[in-house]
Amino acid sequence: MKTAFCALICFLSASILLDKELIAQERITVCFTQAPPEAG
Amino acid sequence: MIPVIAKEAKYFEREGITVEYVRVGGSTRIVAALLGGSAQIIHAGEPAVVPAAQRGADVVIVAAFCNAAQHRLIVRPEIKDVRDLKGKPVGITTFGSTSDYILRFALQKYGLDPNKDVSILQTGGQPEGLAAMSAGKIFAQRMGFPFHLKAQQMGMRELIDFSQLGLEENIGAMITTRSFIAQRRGTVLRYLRAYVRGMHRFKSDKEFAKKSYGKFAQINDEALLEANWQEYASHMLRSPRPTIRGIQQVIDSGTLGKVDVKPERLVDFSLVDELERTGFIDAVYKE
Repeated sequence: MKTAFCALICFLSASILLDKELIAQERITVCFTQAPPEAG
Repeated sequence: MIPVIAKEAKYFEREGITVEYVRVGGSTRIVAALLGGSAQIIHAGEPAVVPAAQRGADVVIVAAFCNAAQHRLIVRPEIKDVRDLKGKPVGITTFGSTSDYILRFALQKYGLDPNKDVSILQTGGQPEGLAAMSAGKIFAQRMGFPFHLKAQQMGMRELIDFSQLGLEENIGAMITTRSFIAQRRGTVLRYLRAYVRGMHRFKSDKEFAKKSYGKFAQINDEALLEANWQEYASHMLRSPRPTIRGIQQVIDSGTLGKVDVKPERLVDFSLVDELERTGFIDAVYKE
């Protein structure tokens, strides 16, 4: 029971850290000209 | 192409950047997207950057993965010589773009006046140009990999390989503004680090490079993917240092009119310098 509880806490902590990691990601928009030959 | 490899390999995520890619036909339009704030970084040809700088715009080339011009003049099968284009419609993506510069360069080199001897039509992009050529609406357009191979598969002809004419170019040029570098130098540097990792991965992991590019470009043709890889891997730079000579050639060609901008003003070497000085590039090649 105790082990399962610890595992749950670890999982939740990891999830929170992962969320923070995602929030910390910077977003940028990049444009390019190349397109697939079939696109046109 | 290199950003595609870097994205597929999750190098941007590794650097803490989420990148949204947007395709815009013609290099002049994407310079407008950069200056309008729709994009923070663009990958375009310097022929679009030079006129923007001439008008006082804040644009700067930070990196390029290759300096050898990779252009071909693709023509309809009945065209055997550049002079056969006299009196015929020819295509470019947009006015002032790389394809415009290259086409005018070729026409002038073979004694034709681009403003009098041909009618120049904007097709919007290379795929659109290929469709227009196939339909007989235009007789020539500058194309790069893999479009020129696709064009030949469709029965078109390669008339000129511009790398044989000594042209240099900042291929896949990474372009931003000096103000963005000033505000978010760390972001630009991290993007460049992912870009360098992408260059290394492209050259060192052929199958991954072909698979990633094929997925992006929706190409299943193994011969096309192999030729694309061979072409770029053989010219891939170790350090993505832009070429000043390529910019000078664009200016000297006169195809953009009178330009009184020094090529040095269009390049910021400081980020590549930093990656070289700190040993990042050497470290990537040792991984």
